[in-house]
Amino acid sequence: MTSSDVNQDLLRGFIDESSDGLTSVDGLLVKLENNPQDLNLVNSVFRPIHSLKGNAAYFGMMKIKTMAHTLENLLDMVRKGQRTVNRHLIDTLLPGIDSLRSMLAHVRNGEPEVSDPEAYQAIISNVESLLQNAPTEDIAVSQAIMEDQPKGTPETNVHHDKTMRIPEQSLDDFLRCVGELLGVEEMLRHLTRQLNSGIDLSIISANFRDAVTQFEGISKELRTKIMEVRKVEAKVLLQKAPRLVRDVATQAGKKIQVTCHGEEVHIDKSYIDLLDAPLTHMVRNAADHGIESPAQRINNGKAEVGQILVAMSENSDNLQLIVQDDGAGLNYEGLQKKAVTLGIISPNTQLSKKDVVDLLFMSGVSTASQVTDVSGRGVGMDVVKRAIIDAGGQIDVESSPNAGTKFTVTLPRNASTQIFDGYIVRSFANDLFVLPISFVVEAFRMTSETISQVPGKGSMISRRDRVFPMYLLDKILGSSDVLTHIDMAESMGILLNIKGHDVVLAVQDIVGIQKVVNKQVEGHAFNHELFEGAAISGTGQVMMIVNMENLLRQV
Amino acid sequence: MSSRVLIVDDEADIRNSLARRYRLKGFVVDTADNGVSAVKLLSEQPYQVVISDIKMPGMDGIDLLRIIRTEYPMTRVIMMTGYVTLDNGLSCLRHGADTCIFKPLQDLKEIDAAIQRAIDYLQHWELKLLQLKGMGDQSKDPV
Repeated sequence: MTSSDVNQDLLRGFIDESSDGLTSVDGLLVKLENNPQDLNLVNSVFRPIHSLKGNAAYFGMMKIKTMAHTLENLLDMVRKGQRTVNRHLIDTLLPGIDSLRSMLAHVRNGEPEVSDPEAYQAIISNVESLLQNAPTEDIAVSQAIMEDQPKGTPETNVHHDKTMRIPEQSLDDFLRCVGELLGVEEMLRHLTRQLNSGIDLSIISANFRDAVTQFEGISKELRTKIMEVRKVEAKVLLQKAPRLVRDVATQAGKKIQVTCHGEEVHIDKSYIDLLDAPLTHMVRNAADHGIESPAQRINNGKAEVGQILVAMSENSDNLQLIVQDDGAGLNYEGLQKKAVTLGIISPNTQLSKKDVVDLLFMSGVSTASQVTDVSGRGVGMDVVKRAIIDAGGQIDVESSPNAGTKFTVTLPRNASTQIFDGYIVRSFANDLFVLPISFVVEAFRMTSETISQVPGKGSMISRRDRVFPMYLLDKILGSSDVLTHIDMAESMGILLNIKGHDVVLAVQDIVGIQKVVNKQVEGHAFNHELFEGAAISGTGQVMMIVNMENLLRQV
Repeated sequence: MSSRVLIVDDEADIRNSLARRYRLKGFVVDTADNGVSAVKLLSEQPYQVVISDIKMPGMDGIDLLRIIRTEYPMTRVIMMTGYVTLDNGLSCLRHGADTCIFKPLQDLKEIDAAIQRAIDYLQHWELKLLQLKGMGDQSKDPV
């Protein structure tokens, strides 16, 4: 039985579970380095490696078994107090964990476990050298070998058919919903019979309403439940940070302590993938460019050990990922220079916060005065930023000299949140409104000659040999008090096509087109008929999103 | 699923006749003439079933059994012995062999049945594991 003979579902499930188990190991090892006496930590690392060793052979992954076995032997010595935990030990273990991860990823993709036998063997020998009783001198894995092993989570980690563990309770809930759906089906069947039997329509109509209400309830519950199932603990994401920082700190000779908050926050699965690259970038950036060298920090009157905070938090609307360091702060001068060189701003203009974010997340630009090999490659970071913005999020940066830098990624809490292109207009009462762009045909400046009053029909406007009914946005919305002093000729007309009806909507001004995130609004003053929700403009102003079909009904 | 069987015996005749028999029955069969080369083969690919003689030069069958139980706990082991002593039988039982078959092998049905039991046992577990993984995926890619 080679690995291809194993049931593929089982194999995939095993790999995903094992990979998940390994993700926590990085963080645990870094923790262990700081608390060398903590036997519980050793045991927590030992367990996933041990079971991987025991199970890998069953799935035909002999190389993984050997690697896990070697690592287990070393960990066992640590457990028995025959090896002390020090930097060299952790440096030896981490590449082994990386190698396990990348081998699992290879098998997942149907490739052989080991792509580079020499690198594999080098890691094994390195661990084995520590197994021998004689004290060993430092045999560091050469840099060239390290390059071939993906650090942290391998790139190949993106699987289209990744499996996911679901609590049994959720499945039971789904089943219950399905049961209730069958009830609705029965109700509808009954209604069909009633329709054919010539029963009073008012009774049928009442029954029908019942069925619809039932159905609405179930459909809403299913929607909420499925979103819940998609959620996973932010820990999966945040636990990468200590390892990332350690890698940078080790290379740059810095002392950095990482604190993670909000590991228990549940976030949508898709956000884990979305935030993975930005988190890596921000954390590396903070460790590499934010935190100064120990000597420099003491010079600047700060503690020798730099602090990096990685925090996930949520409120009713948003999810926030914060990466904050107490380092030197952004090198605004350097950024300004780069921005000018790249033609983003002219030499005399001041950098705005948005420009700074743009720059930091631009391919090939970094705050480092000297490019180090860890975070000096800003490859594809603009793509990363784009992805966040497309998901309805934003990236902010705050920084002050010698106090540090704080990156904040804000995302709508619900990944299902509706995002669309909004056509933003200003009413005569100076409020902003969003019209879904799919309804907009064209916009034009109106002149008084084209407008006429038709008795019984209201205002009409002629344009290109056609006549359209014209409505004032303010009037539909009920703010008629401004009507008296509006000069129609000064306003903009927007030709809309709503379900086949052409109408012109008069507004004071057109602000522009923007991606908007539909946020649900609650409150008794809110007209649920007329508005779908609200969005926030670039300047922070609230804009109501107009429900076009209901708008047409109101006129 | 074609299961992989490893036959370990220092007597070439027994090794070869068993190998032929189980290849004909559709198994993938490898052979080793001592414990050490069996351990090497075991580290290179997974075996569902190992059939091993007890008395062999170098590493004997009981040592091999012990290694398999710690290193490859999912592999089933069937022991054979020509030295029918209680001690041999108890060693097999103590170290978790599936069964112990006494030589000479006049009726191979006993080994056949032992192999079938081992395979059934593993298939039972595979089914269990699939059930554990939950519904849905099972029908997708039956191998």
